[in-house]
Amino acid sequence: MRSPVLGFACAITAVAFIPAVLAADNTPSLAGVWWATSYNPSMKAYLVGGGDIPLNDAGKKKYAEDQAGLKDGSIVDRSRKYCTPDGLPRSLSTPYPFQIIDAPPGQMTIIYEQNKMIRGIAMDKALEPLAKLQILPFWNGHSAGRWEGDTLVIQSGGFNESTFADATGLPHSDELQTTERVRKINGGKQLEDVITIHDPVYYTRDWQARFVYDNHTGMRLMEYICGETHRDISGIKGINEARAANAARARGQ
Amino acid sequence: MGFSSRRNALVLAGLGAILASGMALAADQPAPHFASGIPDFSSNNMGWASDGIEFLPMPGDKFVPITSTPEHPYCGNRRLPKCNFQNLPPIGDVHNPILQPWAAAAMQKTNDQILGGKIAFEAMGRCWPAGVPGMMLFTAEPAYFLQTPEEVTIAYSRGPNIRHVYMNVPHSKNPKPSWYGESVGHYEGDELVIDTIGLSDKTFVDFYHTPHTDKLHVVERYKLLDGGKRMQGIAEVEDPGTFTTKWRAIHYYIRHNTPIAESESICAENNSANYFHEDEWPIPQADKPDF
Repeated sequence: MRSPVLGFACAITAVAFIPAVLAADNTPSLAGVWWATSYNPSMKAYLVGGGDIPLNDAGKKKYAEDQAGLKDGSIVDRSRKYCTPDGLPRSLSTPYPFQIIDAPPGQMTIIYEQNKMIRGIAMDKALEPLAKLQILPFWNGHSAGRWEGDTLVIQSGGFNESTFADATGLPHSDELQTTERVRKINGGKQLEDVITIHDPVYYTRDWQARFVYDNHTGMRLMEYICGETHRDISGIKGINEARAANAARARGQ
Repeated sequence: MGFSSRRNALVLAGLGAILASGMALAADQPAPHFASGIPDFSSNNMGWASDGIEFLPMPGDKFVPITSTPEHPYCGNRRLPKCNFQNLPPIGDVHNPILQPWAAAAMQKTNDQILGGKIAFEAMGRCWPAGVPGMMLFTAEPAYFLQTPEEVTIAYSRGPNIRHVYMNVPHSKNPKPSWYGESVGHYEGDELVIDTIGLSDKTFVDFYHTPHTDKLHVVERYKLLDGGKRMQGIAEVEDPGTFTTKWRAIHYYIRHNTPIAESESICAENNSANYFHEDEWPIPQADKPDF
């Protein structure tokens, strides 16, 4: 016969699993497959309010070094050579689809087709202080989210310095902290992600970039293995220009 | 019986009682379920880590998965203490009757190369997809089952690697061969059943470099054990292009108490280096940027 204590413990265990499911049912959801309609290698194209990205002197110097290194090959863009994660905010400019999943319980997960990136977002606790996150920095940072009405607010920090902020070599430091406000727009036909960049090492002030994606829920993500032929993205506005520019750079033009 | 023997007997009896009570406790604990009744493979913000590096035989089965040979035990990193701290490469038993002659010959060739000093290819170590069922043997880093009604996404931190399992739908008519194939799934009681076809022949079935063709068909059955403390995965493997018969294998997983939000293990982070001539097997890389 099962002991009453054990039976009570089992009942507690069973009940403990119900609230998470009910909570998931009662909160908004951004779940689905989303895909950008355009791509630009420069974060400047996504800058909210236009103008220039507010690099400080150290940022200008680092950006110039990055650009020169990428051009002469002394710096490798590992995100394109070895398909390591793009980091933020560069990941948000991906021309490949991505999937938002309301799972596992207490978390939310974003799967990016490009580079097989996985972003786990803790929904059950606040983001740890930056100093603690920097002990184990991640390529895509550590993230925690919360809902403000129908907007998902994701705060991230604890990035390593192995990524660029965009494909042109825009820098970021390990003090980068971001806040994303993600919501459905146009009746759910599109998803908007406005990211605020806070990195006092390289920028004079916080700045924002805005990304919009179309809803492709029902479409299946495909495999992405570095160096192989992937999904045809030539229909994404700006891709052919970016590829032509890469080819010209490879030819030394 | 001397004092030492009596003491040992008492210790063993005590250990037995503890184990028995532990097993009874474990057996009495229900596996976690969602309110809908399906098993919760993702409960408590944890993932699953592979417990071991090779498939085990199914009890009672006549045909068993490939194992190492007695003269060449396989001792990867997790087995170092048991092998006198030697790292011994995988040398598969080519006399296993499940193998067709061409498969046995291919494995013998690989064995000879490894015994001749060539570094053994490991998809896990060289950042390549492991395919199915090979992926079942990944890895020390946690894997997460992201369960929704339409899809179970399996996110493997190591790599990372991602598998998409579409629930309660039939297979496509002619799926294009790919590294992880096309997986469809459903629940049978407490089991998550995953049926996979459309696998390319670029992967191995296991760490012993057991080959397969694109006729490979794998059914995986995952089930929680010990109240959710462990998980078992059974693979039912059929490939008329490679094997003489259907065969089954079992593998176990242990809890890895790391939430997905705190897990990142990027294989290519350091593996483009060539510290130990591992560049005999280059990691995936692009000659030119994709975009």
